[in-house]
Amino acid sequence: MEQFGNIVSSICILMAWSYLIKENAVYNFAEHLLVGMAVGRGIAYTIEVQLQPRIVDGIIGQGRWSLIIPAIIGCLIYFRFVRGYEWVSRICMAVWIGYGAGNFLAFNPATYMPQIFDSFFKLDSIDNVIYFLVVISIVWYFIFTVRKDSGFGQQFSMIGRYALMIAFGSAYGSITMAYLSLIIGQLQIILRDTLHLVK
Amino acid sequence: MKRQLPLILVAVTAVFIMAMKFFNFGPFGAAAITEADIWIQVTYEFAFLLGAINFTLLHYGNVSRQKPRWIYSAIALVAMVLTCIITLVDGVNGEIAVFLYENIANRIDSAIYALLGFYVCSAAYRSFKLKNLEAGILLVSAVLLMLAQAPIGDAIFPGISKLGEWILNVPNSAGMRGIRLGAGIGAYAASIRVILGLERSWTGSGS
Repeated sequence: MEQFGNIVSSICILMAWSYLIKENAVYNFAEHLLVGMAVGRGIAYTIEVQLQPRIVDGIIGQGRWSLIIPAIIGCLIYFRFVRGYEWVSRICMAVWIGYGAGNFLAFNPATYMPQIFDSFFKLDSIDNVIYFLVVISIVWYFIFTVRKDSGFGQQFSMIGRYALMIAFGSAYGSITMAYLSLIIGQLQIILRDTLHLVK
Repeated sequence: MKRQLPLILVAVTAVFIMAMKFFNFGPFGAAAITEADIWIQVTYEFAFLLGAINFTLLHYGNVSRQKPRWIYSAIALVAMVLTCIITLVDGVNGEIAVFLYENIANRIDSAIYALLGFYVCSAAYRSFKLKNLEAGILLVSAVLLMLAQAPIGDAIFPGISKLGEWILNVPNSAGMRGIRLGAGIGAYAASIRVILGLERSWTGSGS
């Protein structure tokens, strides 16, 4: 069974990688197969893992009938498909957006504030000085409401720009390495697990 | 009412959540926030079919009108129905369901994601031309990081892994913090605009 799984996996990987030659029927088949399977599993997962326990254990089992209210609000989203009543679906969206905005404003400062405080540490080493200058220069670079046409403001903004390039460059390098390790993992499935060509 | 009710609901929901957090309502406040989290989760759960219905309508339309490439739409629909039935019958953690998902969907998913690796390299070749100082800094930083993370890097340039570690810990970490602070402030501004009803593009009526 494991070897059969490896063969199927290898075929799927090669179908996807056939795109490197050019877009072709095999790649399109794999792409649509993936999307269909992902949606199908998503539906089954939501029903089995979330909806069924919520209805059977939560609403009926524990008698939490108040949960019917959010259930109805959630179902309002389907009014998008009822001609003439599309606006009703916005009620559900309004609750989501309001919750998201309120939650962000109420709870997110707890994440950001420590980061701001931590940026102002003792400038007792060259690393700390560089760290502090980079943070300040980037924040300055992102302030667009102040004119920075000349003088120190412009120079400091340029430093922020260069600092951003270092950050983007290193992020790019890390991502490229992550992609390469993903490619190596796929090659291992084909060459080691399926074909047993490498150990 | 069609336009105003959703805007009022946004404001009421957001203000309720913030009030429960910022003012001391005792045990009621904590219980209200926990209950609000559950309620939102329930709305998500009952709206789960939205994507599936959209997906089905789109692909069913392609198949029924015999649009170009309709055969792929048929494949997607069949895959969706079969996977859904098998997973529901066998269970999410069932042997057949897991086998199908792990060896087909997951593999294609990670293979398509890995394809980006090839294109990242080709994009780098095209875009990393040393046109100006910024491009040069980007290029040097990226090359240093890649060499530092590859085993061959230390063999060619001893100590490069330490330099890579320093780049990650100091300039990269500080740069990302600056970006996050900027994005965070932007998100606060956007949230306040949404609550005040100034940002209403989500209603389909523009700002």
